Amino acid sequence: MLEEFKDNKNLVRMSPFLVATAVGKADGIFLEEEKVFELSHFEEFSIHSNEFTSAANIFLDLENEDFHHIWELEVNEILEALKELPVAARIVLGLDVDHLVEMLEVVVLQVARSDGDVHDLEIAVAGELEVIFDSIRADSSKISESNFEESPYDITDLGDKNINDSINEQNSSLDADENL
Amino acid sequence: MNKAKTLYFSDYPDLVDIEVDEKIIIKARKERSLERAKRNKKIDNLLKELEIKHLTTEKSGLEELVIKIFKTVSIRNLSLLEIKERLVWICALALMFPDTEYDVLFTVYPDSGAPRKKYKIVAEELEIPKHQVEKLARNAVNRLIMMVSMLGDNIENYVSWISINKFTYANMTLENPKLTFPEIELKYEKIPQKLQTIDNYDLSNSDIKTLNNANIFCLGNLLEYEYEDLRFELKLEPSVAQKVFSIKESFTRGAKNA
Repeated sequence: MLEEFKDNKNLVRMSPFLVATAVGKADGIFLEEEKVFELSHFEEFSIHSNEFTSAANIFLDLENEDFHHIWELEVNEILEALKELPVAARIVLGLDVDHLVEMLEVVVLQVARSDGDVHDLEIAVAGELEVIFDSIRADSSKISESNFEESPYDITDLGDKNINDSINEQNSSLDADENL
Repeated sequence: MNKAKTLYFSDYPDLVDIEVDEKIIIKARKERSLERAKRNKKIDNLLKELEIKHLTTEKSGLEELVIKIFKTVSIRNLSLLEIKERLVWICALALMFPDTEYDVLFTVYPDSGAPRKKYKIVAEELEIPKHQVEKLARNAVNRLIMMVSMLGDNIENYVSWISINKFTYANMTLENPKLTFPEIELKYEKIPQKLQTIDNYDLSNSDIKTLNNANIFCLGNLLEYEYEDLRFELKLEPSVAQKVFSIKESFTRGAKNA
């Protein structure tokens, strides 16, 4: 895998660019880099992520990111890098990975429809991307099916609930102080 | 008293009158040596079987690894869930290995769940000479066998020092057939002392190599060695043998006091 994408956070942040480029270059029909950038609505991506994920800063100012070096990559290089996305997304976004998949699917459709038709080659690449997206979804549903209280092992990332409880407790005690 | 006798018998046989003890000591040494030879043969056979199986099956390398390692402690067939849990144990043990050995192990038995790779391919991938890849992979498998032989396949011996994340637990407990590489953290303070690797002690690389070749990888593996075994069977220099023996002694003393 390309060195740049060995960092989980970076791979997740750059995933919309990777997906947009893979679909943009798939049918071999000339599509300008700027056009793909415009079609992908990366600004929307940043705003949307702010609404759903606790790790929204990962997608902050996505539209200002340098996109050109990704545009230079071959489609198979991009798909190779994206194969690591399920693990990276799970580590970086936890249970919010479902939303990332939804947003990436939107990017795929926006770029594929840009020239009016969805080309066979675009469908082929979309098929490969779908496998990656399904794997992310499957991981997420597996987690929600499990009963972690039965685990004989310590679970390292079970802390979210405790943290939220402490924040709520802290907030209610502050409210109570203010009311006095 | 016995320890002093074995030391003198090994290094200064002319200084003591040991006519009475000699036969008993030699007999005991032979017995220990035979037992170890039997165990080493079993490991060799397993490794050969692993090589042969590799040529005839397209099974995931990780599954193959788990089955072979745990065959040394129990001959029964493992279910899918048991394989998944044992994979967690193996990966936790492997986190204590030297970095290169860890990388080679999980490239030969790919962490992606793919079938076992040939040494030649791994050598090209990791840019390490093939003979070294072969040696490191065998050493890693031997290390796992020796560590698992001390802990067995009882979950109680693993849970206290292994932490996993939600995803790993979900994968380990659900019946989906995919074998996924576990994400683990070790609770270092709770790792049993007998698993402490000899690489952590002040021994030269060649001494560690000699010990590894005799299937001694961690403190627990030293328990079946007496001083004279270290001297005559492993042919360690007196100073090294004494150092290794004192490591073993301080470990057994610690275990008794605990």
